[in-house]
Amino acid sequence: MSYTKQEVEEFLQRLYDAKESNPSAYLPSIWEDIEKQIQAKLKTYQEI
Amino acid sequence: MTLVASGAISFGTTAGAGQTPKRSIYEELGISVTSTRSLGATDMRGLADKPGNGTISISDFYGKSAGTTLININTTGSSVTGTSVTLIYGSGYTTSSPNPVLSGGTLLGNGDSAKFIITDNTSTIKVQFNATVDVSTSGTYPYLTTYSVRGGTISNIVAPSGASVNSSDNSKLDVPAGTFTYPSGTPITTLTFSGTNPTASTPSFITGSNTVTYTAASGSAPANALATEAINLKLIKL
Repeated sequence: MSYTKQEVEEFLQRLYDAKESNPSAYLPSIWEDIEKQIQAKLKTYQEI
Repeated sequence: MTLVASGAISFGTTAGAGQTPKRSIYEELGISVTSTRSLGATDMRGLADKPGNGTISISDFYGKSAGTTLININTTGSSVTGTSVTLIYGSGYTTSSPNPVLSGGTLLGNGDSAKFIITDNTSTIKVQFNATVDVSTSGTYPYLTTYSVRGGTISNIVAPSGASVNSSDNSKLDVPAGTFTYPSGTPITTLTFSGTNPTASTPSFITGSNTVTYTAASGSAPANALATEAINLKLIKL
């Protein structure tokens, strides 16, 4: 499935919102891993 | 299956074959009951929770379970954050190629007991303990299924000598100075274990992984790159 850059940016914001509203939901390593993956996805749009 | 907690027990079937619980160590190991094994053999020591070169006796096998190995994997990457280094033991898991810890014929479920083993590049066991795991699937974004050590359940810490449950977070394990090296200093290292698997609702570019985070208990540097010191993670469902 493909995503637009805006959708991916929204995913990142949703991650931040989820982290803020329920910080105990995931371990820091898990949050960081997800964030890195979203950032890496965003970077692919910038390289195009 | 688990070996009998007391009474007759044997290498082969002298104490009985096909018993419940088992009375044959070889049956529990899943090897031929006519095998010949030294008590000091690696798989024997592994079952008895007696790694290394210390004394081992047949009574060490009482109540032990070989379990089912879910992953036995060398590190596939790392990342550094502050005074922590996170080693990745398998990544890129998707719904069609899922994390074997959390999907498949045998998987880790919420409340299951598991054995965690970290070995170095000489196959020496650096860390080994048992714990109950929490497994849950987020009902909200990003919908991942995750596992982690349930607080207060770490037990049977076989290695390293002197390891203990972290005093402020009992889901973490503290290992003594010297277990893992640092660019400078010799702090205690705190270990955190977790893993993830995406669900059908997870954005498809977010994948799952198994990770162990090694955090310096003091000082300012993360543990050295641990590709040699913690090359392998084995996770066994008991």
